[in-house]
Amino acid sequence: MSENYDVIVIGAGHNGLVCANILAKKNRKVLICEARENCGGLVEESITNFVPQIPLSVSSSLGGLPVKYKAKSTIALSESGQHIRLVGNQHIDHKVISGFSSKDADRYVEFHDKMSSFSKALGSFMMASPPRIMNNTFSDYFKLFKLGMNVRMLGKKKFNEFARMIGLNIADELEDNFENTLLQGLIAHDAVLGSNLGPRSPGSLINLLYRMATHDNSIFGGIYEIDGGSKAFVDTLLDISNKNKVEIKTSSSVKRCITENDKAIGVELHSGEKIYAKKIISNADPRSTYFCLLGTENLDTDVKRRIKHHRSKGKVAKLSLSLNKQPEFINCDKNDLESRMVIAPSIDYIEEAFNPSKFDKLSMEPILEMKLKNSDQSNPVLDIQVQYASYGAQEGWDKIKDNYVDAVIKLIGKYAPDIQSCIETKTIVTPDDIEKNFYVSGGHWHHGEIQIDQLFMLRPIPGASQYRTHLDGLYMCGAGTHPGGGLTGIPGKNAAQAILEDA
Amino acid sequence: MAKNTHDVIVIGAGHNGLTAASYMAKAGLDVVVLEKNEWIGGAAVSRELYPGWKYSNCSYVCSLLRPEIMRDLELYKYGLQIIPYEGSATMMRNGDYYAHYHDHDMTINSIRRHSHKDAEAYERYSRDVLRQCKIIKPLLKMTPPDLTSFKPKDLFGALEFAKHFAAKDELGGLGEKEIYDTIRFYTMSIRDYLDEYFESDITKAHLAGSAIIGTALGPCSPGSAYVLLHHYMGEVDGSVGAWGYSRGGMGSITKAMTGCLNAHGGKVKPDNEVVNVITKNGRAIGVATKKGDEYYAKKIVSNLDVKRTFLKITEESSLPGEFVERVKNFKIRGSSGKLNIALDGLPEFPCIPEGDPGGGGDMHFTETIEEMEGAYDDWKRGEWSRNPYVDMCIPSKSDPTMAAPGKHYMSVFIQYVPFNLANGGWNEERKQEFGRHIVDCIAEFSPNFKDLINHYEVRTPLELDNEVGLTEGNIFQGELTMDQLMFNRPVPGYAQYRTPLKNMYMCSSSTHPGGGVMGAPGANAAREVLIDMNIPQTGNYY
Repeated sequence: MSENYDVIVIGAGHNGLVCANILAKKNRKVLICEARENCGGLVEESITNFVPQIPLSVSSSLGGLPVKYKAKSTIALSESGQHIRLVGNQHIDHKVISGFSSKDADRYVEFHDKMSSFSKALGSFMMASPPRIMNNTFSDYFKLFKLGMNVRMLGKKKFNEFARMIGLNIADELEDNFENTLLQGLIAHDAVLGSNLGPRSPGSLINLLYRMATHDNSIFGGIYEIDGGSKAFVDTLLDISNKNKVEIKTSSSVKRCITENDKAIGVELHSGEKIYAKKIISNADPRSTYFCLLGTENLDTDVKRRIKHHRSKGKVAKLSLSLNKQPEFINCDKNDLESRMVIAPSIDYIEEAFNPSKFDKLSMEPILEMKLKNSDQSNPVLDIQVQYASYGAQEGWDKIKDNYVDAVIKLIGKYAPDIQSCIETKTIVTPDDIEKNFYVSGGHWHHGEIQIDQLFMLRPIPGASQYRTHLDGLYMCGAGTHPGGGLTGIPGKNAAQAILEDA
Repeated sequence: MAKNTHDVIVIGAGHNGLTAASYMAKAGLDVVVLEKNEWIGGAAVSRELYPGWKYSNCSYVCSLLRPEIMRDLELYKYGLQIIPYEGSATMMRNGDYYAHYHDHDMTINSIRRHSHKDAEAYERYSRDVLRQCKIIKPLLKMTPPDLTSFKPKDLFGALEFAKHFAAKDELGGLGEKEIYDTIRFYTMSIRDYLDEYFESDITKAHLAGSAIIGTALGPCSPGSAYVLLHHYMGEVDGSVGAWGYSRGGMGSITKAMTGCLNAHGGKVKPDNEVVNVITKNGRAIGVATKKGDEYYAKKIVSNLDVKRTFLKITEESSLPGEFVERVKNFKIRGSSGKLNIALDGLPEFPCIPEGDPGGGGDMHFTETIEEMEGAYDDWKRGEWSRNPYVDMCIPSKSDPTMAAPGKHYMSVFIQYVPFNLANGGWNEERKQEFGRHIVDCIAEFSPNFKDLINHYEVRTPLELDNEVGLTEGNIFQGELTMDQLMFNRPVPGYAQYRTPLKNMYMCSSSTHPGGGVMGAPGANAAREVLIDMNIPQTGNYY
């Protein structure tokens, strides 16, 4: 048996590419097997709307990542035309909010400072592999101690506040602080984005902190668009891969992991081809990794049960409307149309949209995050992220898709009355489509819910938290691992480190 | 104007106030308990509101009361008797029923009728939950350490907490896997938790009930699994998780406590509402009552919830602003209502076969978690649930002292009823409409129920607030969510029963470990007072 490669990475999503390149730079011979024709996974126009910036630690371990970002401001649309426009700069935002309520403006700055210091305390923890509680290794204890100290160094008052906030719901915190319902709705929107929580679900606050930690520790700053779109981003990663001599096999989906003596030694493709390597890394989601690659016969019941109940039902659909002219949004100027437009008018509105989704039903009044592409050209495209569009909707996506799209357009019509007449074509990508087309179980952005019981050392499941799986030689580097999804590359980087440590 | 001086004043004669008072009286202190109502017992009372029937008109079943407290205060000597009940049942619209029994094997057989897989899973489930109960039990008795303090007491306390979790399995602590399971249990929703074990809706719905009683969370809200644990960690006669009736109604508990207090020289003064805490230089020195009397003492212990204590009877100016802000934002939400019904006979529930012990305890008719969550969604909108979760029982079946022979008393607890009703709030008409609706819901499962009704009392969160003094009618005196448990309860930095005012303490359910007729907050608070007064403590509890 010949070992052809040092490492095989399964899946060329951005985390897989990051992981492969870091290993290649350390002189490993790396092969990536990608099931689809294109690389990049969920980093694609049809999925991604806005992205955070790749952290410096990730780009520097790749030897630099020449990607240009364009910062985006946010506008919360209101039916009455009293929109709130925020840019992520404290002084400007304070002034904007004072226009609605001077009390809210002052509170906002306080609230933001507090949240920002918490997300910073979490931040360093997110960049590294999470410690296990009783691994009895010095480095794990040290990491735990460091996190404790990070939080403790915030000071007594903030420490207490932090301890309180971990399980809090965002609605309570916002209602305690602000009176403007549109502002409440906007912040709550960002707290529940991509998750299976409503603003009144405990744990939605840590969701926001989590998001802030990858978005420059800011609520409305740190939201970017990539120059040239996500294609430019993926191309850059592919260029680097070329330089690092990473081999990429597209259209080659992996059927299973080949094991010998309880160790992963290679992969078998659906074509029947077998490729061997010292280490295998899966960029697939945890469920696919365990159930498809590892196979249930290799799992003990406890692990099987945990993976089976790993929660990864996607809640976000992407609707793209290609338009024949620029729609007229009420009381919006050109600048507004270029920002991130959010329709989530109040906490109660979001909660009502969330309610049916708990049992996989659809609300006909969902919450939206919109981006107008090519706004200055004759054929603009309105990209809309629609939440809570449940995976496996009870109504049946095939049956209800058209009605749902119409409902969303009708909703947009409240803010842009002429939208209907501008539409040329409409395409919707539901979580079910994401599952089918991108091989992500449940079609979840983060490959698994971001909730406390699936975070840190519990991500994706207890016992597999440090990028290692229950099978020797098989690793995970996808969004299902700590710290989760978003265009950050951190899981990929951390996984590469775990492999280098083991070698 | 009378002037009275004592060692300790306890404000409020609820079960925690009386527990704290009894412990302190036993330690030799001169204790007086001031109660606003004419009756004693707070939310643990038996009242004859309709001639011939005794109503446990607030709390209605017993399990959480710590056995050490019962022994220390010799409650059995003062007349307390707990009658365990044999089972519980959920009635189904198709005429079938689902029951749990005191006897484990009977429960398994009963579950097997609905799902073989669930019957198997129940073994695993009950073992796992029991394990969590054992883990949490010693924590109930602890004063939560202040994690921000570097005082030796707090450092050791934190260490004790950590040791408890982190010790190796052989040493009685938890292994790594179990720590993860504990973290998950504390943060998950009951729906997700039960999904990991069971397949049938009825099993899940029956079990999930315990996770929503009294809370403003739904079965899908993360954190609701903990509420289930909170209801499971009690015991009756050493049988963990069992529930029972207090003979003579819940008032017998507080009556026995008062008996213990009196025997040790303490006094309860009903009809003495405290309206003001008298302070001097940042110290609490006494209280003033509505009648105009003033009482002075070395220590003041408040059994009122944290909001009432600091926003109603204490001058805001004597407290740090930040503390007041925190207290204002303390979540204490009314989510439950109650019907107390005097019946002329035993209502028939055709779903449950006659003589089946499943009908002897709490009965429900919510068949799916989705229904339950729907009831919660109504509440979030500010309405009472049209299809509510109901926890009803007929204590007079096992306790003849509640009603005359042949007559019966029925307690119906209703989950989700808002304190602030949308569109104008509560009034008499809307309250009666709510009562009628609940009666209709029950009548669906009992053909002769309506004919047997002699009288019923409707209680909304408003009544619980006004009459018993539970803010917003929250039965736990504060939501049992992560942000308000352990060292966060009631307010971070003040979780050790002490308050910003020197010599003033809290002993209500607003403090660790929280609500239920448990007595632990009272006993813990008494311990802290005694420590501060350098009085040695005795008893099983400490």
